[in-house]
Amino acid sequence: MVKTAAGILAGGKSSRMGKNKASLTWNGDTFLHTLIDACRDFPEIYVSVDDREKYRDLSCTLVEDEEKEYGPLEGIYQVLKQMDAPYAVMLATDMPMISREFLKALVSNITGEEDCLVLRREGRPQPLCSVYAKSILPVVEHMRRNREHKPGLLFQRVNTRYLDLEELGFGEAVIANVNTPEEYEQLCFHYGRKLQEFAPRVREKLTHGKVMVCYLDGLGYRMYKNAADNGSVPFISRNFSVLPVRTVEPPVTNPAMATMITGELPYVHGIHSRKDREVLVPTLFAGRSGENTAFLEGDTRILKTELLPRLHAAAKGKGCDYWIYRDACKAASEEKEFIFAHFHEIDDAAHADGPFSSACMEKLKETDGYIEALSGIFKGEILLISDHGVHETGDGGTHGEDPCSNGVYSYNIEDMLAVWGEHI
Amino acid sequence: MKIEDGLFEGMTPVKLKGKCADGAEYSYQAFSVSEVLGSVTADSLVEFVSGDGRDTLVSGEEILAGDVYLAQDGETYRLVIPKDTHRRRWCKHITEIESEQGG
Repeated sequence: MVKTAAGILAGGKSSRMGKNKASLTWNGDTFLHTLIDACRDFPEIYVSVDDREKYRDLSCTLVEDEEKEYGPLEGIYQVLKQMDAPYAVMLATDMPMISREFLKALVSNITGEEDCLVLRREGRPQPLCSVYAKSILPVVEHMRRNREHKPGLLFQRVNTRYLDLEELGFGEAVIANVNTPEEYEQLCFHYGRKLQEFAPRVREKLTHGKVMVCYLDGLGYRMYKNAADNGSVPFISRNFSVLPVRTVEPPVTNPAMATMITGELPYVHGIHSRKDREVLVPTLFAGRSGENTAFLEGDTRILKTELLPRLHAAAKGKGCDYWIYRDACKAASEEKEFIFAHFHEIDDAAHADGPFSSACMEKLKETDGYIEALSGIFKGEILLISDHGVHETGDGGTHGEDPCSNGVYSYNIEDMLAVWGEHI
Repeated sequence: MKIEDGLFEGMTPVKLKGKCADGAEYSYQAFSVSEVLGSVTADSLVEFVSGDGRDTLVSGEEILAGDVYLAQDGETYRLVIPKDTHRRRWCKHITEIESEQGG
């Protein structure tokens, strides 16, 4: 096999995304780290950046743009200049689905005869997921001098061979990329973390130590991002990695909660609507007792679980979340192994005033304070999870009640993307 | 306290009529929970045990405010809290009411 380096192009402006795409999260890591991990079989890995300072903690070799505003060809040029290998696979940082297997298949097609091995999807070249030879440097230098930045022009001037994605035996998903927040949400919706992965995660964590689950009812990913951006969740945003997680259909509490605590989908656990309560499979509470577990609910018992929850009602001028928080503190100080606290008031505020309302942000701030205080007391791992999002209506918010007919999602995507947070 | 025949003897039902947030109209013969319980205090917490598992907890102060009802719903009773217009706490098939002092 021809010796090949990997070049990751992370120097783009991400202007349509509104934030650096390299730092977007994907399955518990950033896009950039996910891609670096996928490239770990390559003997040389370069990351092309616009500013070294931003990436000084990265262990890979950094190359910095000399020609600013020249586009991705500048990053390709800088990697080719630096590398020892005769070829490099160049990858945009916004393709988190790229895998080791895919890269292995791609570079195995290098014959040593071509200058560029360009991947095509449905006949369209994918220059930011293609292979370039170091020998093309003089051609790229000439293009830089003439401010020609289109990779297509390069391909016309050198010995280019095209390779169709289908020939590699991979589907389109492997090179899915994102440019806007909406595309990122769609990527998460289709290929990201799923709510049914939560219960296995909790079970695994419980084998290593104490776990507290803070279940934040109704906290959608878009709502969370809004709160993080406007400073309403300072503790969570500083101390937790919060990812979007795809919930179940319909995106309402009972089926989603059942999936959260069983790790199964509705057709298995039997909870399909707000009316269903009889869970057909074991939950996280199976085999547990009040001795080692605190299951703290709001004012209503939602599902029939092996362990009865302790209910909490609004009283003495305080909402039920305050009393849940108080009991969670008590359970933490009693060193319970497993605490499951279901906070409800974010959902209540989102319904009453809308998911981006000041009332909702205030409630998030209050909850952020509860989690900060609990973090100081609890000697174990805290996981954050929500069940669904809420979208705006004319007079507040709702979710799971208005199936869309756009042919893409059954429900509003804001309802479908909940959050999953783990301590950094 | 078990919900059984005779519990409401001597009490006068009120007629509850209204409209929920989703536009659904309701009409019930109902009894004020504060009257049913008699001795509820503001500090207490009252749990309504439901035959279908949807148990619901209401504070004593909310019950004393007088807007929490046990309404006849076919052969059984359900909780009706008119100000809870989304009917989130309107649990059905109530079999028992348990009162405890709050913490």
